[in-house]
Amino acid sequence: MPALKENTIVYTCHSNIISALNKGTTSCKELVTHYLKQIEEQQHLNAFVEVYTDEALAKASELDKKYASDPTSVGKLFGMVTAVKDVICYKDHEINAASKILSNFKSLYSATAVERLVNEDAIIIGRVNCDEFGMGSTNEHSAHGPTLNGTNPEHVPGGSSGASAVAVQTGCCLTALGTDTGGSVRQPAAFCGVIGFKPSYGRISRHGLIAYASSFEQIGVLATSVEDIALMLEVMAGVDDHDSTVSTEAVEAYSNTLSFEGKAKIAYFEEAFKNDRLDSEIKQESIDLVEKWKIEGHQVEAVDFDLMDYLIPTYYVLTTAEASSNLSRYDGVRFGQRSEAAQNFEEVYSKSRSEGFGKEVKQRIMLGTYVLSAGYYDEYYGKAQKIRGAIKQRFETLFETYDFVVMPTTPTTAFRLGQQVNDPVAMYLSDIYTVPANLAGLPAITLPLAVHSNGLPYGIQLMAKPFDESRLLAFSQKTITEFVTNN
Amino acid sequence: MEIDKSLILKLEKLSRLTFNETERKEVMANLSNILTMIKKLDEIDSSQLESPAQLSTNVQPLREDIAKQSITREQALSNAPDQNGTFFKVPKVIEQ
Repeated sequence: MPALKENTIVYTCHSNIISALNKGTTSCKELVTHYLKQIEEQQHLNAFVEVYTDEALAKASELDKKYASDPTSVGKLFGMVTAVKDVICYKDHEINAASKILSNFKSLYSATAVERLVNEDAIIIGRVNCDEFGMGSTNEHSAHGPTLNGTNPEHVPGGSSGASAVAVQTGCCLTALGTDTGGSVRQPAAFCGVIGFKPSYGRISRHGLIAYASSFEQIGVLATSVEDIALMLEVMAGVDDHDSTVSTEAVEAYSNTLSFEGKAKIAYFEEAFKNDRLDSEIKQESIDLVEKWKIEGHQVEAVDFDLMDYLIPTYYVLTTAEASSNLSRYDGVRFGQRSEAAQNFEEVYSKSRSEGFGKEVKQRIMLGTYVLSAGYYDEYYGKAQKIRGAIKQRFETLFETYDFVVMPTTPTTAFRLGQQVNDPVAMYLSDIYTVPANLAGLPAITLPLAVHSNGLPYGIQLMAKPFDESRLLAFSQKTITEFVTNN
Repeated sequence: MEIDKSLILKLEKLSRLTFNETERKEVMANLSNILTMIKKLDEIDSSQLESPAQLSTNVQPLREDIAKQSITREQALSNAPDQNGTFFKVPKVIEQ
């Protein structure tokens, strides 16, 4: 963990909380009170858009009573206090997707993921900031204003789930939900020195997640322990009548399978380490980790991956195309903001959308519209779909031989505020290590690796074949406890 | 890659977005930078590539075709900017 004030994190994982609750040394009410105080103290970072103070306290008291009357009656997530990104629905609560176009919108239902957490007695403490509709890598593209990095407030926390990372980093909750379309959970987790996990495509239902790029995005978890990620995942994962893309693959008890047996076979792409945008300290520390694995008998090998340069272009063609289609629903008629300047029906659409969406979102809609438009469809969208197929195929072949692929999570540490905001191409290129997992639908995790000489944390990323979450999490647990314990 | 004004106006129309001149200039500049980056894909001969990615491993699951109510009319109208209790209201579309 990055340097935090001593009192900022009382408990580092749910099992510690459970033993304290069992011994009676704390209560849910005391926990929630602690986190609320912490949220108050960290207000200047602008992570929380809304804090559910009364509701969380009431729920805590209710759970304390339930536990006192019968300790076996409480759910798996008793004592888990979590925050939810402003793109995931929670029934009867406001949600804005950090966009003006959804100001005052109230969810009519809960996302399946949230509903499952609540059913297991998790306490949702608040709603956290993000980039508008999840589009951005800095958390600066938000109608709620930017969120700041808790390690150094002159820097961004990353994005789009930047505030989810800050909430966990600064001990405002034990875990947070984010969403990951091209690295939106993993990149901010790395920038804030916490763990960030994106499951395989189809592992967790997207029902109730405000859509940006439907074939890329998944709900993910940010936490300070692999155990908590495993626990949250096993509760949220699995088939859902409301999302036909959820896999029927069995959901394992991930929190019970965290010990990694045997030796791992790990691949890395030489092209990824040759990237001249990769910071030399991050590169060296990643190589050092590889050497440590090797000494312990794990097999780590360089493999050729000549599609590296095509990842970002493919990703942006396809995600913006999906975004332009998904965001057509914001028409100022059925929900969301309507422009007061609209004189006729046509202007209800165009003025409401132009006033309601932020700059980055509009730009992506324009690009997506372009790549889907007549005359350009085959050249861009059709072609990118085929390249995506080739990328996926390459990973499938790779995972016939290897268990994991290792890569840095980000080429650099967290940007300064304002540094990337006017250069979209530079911002897009910084996603180079995180987009492959979304293009190929792989589960991926970032673990805090070290703190840079500039004082900012960074991470190391592991990817596995689709639905091999249990081994990915087990090896992550091993790596974090045996190989990077100096954090 | 250059983006000319007629193209940007066409995209605005298709996207139901409008920009003022300053914004439009910025969008044109950014889009042409992004498209230059995307042009990298020209290096790949996609005629050699087989099919688009299929991410879902599922056979599309089908449910029984039974109609159910998911939300009430009141709920459906609750987030609307303008409504009359029964319908969404919009400015008049057809002139009499």
